[in-house]
Amino acid sequence: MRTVTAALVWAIVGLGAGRSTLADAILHTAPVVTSPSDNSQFNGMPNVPVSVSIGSYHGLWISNATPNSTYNIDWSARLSDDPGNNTRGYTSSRSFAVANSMGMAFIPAASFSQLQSYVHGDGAYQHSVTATTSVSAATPDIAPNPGATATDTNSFLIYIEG
Amino acid sequence: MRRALGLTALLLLAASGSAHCQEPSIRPEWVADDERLRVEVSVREARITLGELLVQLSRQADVVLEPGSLDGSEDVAVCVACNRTPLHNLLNAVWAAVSYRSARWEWRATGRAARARYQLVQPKEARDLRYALRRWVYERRLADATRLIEALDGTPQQRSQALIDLYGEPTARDSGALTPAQFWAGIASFRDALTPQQRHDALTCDRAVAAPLERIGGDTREYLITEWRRLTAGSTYQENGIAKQVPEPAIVTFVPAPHPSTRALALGVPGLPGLYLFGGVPLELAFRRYLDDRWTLDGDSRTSPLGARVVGPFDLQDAPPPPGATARQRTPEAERRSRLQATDRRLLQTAVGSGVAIVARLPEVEAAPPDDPTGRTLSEFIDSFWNKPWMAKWRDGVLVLSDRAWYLEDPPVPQWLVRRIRRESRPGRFLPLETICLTARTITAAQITALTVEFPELAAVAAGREVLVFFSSGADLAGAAQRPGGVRFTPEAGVGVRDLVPGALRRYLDSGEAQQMELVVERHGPDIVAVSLRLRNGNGRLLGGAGFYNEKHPEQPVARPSR
Repeated sequence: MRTVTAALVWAIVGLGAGRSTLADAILHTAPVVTSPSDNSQFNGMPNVPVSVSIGSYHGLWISNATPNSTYNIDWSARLSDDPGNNTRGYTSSRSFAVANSMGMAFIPAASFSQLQSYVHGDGAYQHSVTATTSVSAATPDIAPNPGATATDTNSFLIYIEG
Repeated sequence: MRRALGLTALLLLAASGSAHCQEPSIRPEWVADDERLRVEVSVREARITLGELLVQLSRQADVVLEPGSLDGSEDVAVCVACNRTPLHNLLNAVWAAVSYRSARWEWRATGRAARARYQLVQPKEARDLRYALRRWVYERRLADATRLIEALDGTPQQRSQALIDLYGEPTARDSGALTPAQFWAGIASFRDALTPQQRHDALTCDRAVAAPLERIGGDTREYLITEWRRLTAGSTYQENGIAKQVPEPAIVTFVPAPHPSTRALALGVPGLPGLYLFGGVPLELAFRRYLDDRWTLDGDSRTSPLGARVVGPFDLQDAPPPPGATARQRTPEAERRSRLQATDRRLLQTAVGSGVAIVARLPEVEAAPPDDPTGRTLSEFIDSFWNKPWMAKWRDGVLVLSDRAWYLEDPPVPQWLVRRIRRESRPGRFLPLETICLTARTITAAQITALTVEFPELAAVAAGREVLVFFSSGADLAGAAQRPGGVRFTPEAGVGVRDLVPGALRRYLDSGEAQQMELVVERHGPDIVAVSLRLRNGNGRLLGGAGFYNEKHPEQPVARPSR
């Protein structure tokens, strides 16, 4: 049995020459299983819908970014049971954010539709969601732009009782 | 004789005119009477509680320095670095780091001269300051919301004026809106999608509120959907290998969104950039002015000639990331620890690298590290706080710093509990159930989360806290539920006990579905592994449950932050 572990991942984004004094933007991303809302809940239903979102504080946020710059955010998530063995769903999307004059940007979570767990029979089923977030600067004068990628996995348990 | 009296009068006049004399800090007369307060002390601690610091200073100066009794004063974490600094200057800098106008801490002395004992007390108004600051932020957000919702039905000129009043210009770009129309669509969404009570709750509690998109008025909803289509065109997901279009959003959320030292209320429409509706830059700037004013005490200074000192390199600099490393996979506890340690180390480096004494009040859970100070003057380092939750001032030649966002965190965890867990936490071992339950009953989930930096096994306690509180409550219901088959009850009785069970399960009691409760304890060897609460209907079918699963401390010892 495992608890859900929502990881905060932060990474350094190199923003390139000329803007290097603000080169350590801080990214807060995390894959979060929003339903079942955490490890402490379970129900007896098969085909449990699983919602996946990314980010702490209900989303992904960037601080200490270059003010008024635009960032692209590519997200993907994969739901598996028996972690890594049997992929049940995959989803991806792209969004963007504009940092304000204090270098703060916020991108809402819950970008992904629900994924179905498809478990049958009695017992406790281990699932995992692996999510990846890539952030890159879209503002033309921020270059070179290596971007940053963060990956993390949440595990959670679905308990089925006939 | 007359000359001596004149000198005494002059000294008294000087003392009475001193900027420090009205403050409950270390009094000049104590310093004059007690030579131990003039002893030079040296400290180099990246993170230490005030209780531990006072013990260390007591030993160096052979003087009794104590925290207040059960007032939380010993629990506050600070970074302290100084080299041969007079003790009274350091004690006053500590006092100035945590004191605010109308919420001052107090140095109290008992006994006289060489037999005096000194106690640093956190009075009630100081303990309550975090809640007063939160209220200030909430009230400001409420006022902004009222103003903007009123402007929503006004003329274009009135809307424009509302934005100018708030943002200083008519586009509201700082909200994250691409156009003013998008900003006003967000305000309209807030007004239309939520009830007045929900709006009030969203603005005055840092909790997310979700609402169906269909509640939003036609034009605004159409605008949001059009924007969503434009920005998410082509997004797909796969289900069992079949590519599907991402469905249009059906829910909007109003969520507390971080700003450096405040929380904004943001609109979240999946696929669209977040929009700071209330708060954000205007609130942040206003809060900074308000907090700076309250933190500036008599005897403090905004500048010092020491600000010209350059911070030299120091062996505690952050390790550079390995070449090509762009992705990392770490636990939330490790990430929090990493940010806290980067913060602590940079502050310590600032002191040691410049040779200037520093006292800094530290965050307990979430840290936003200041910039690397290497090669900067102290004044330049302080200037880099413009978009970070840090503030600085000078007092008696000591650079006093503080996290600005400390008030958003729950109070520090009591040190008596930390010491107990520290004694009992062992690599590869479970904590005793008694300690787990004590922790769940004594502190909040957020405080437990703060402890996971040092005790990762407590993440499970934070997640299962409500079940543990019920399990260890001693309530008759909890005892009966542990018997084989649990306890049966009528729907009416179920509603009566709803507040005893975890929030996620209350709907089964509210609806009358649940008529049976089991509290199942699974033991593996001498250590508890799982405690789960299960609700069933009248036919014995499982409706839902909540549980706690014990976790071991990692096999490798986890160091205390900054140790």
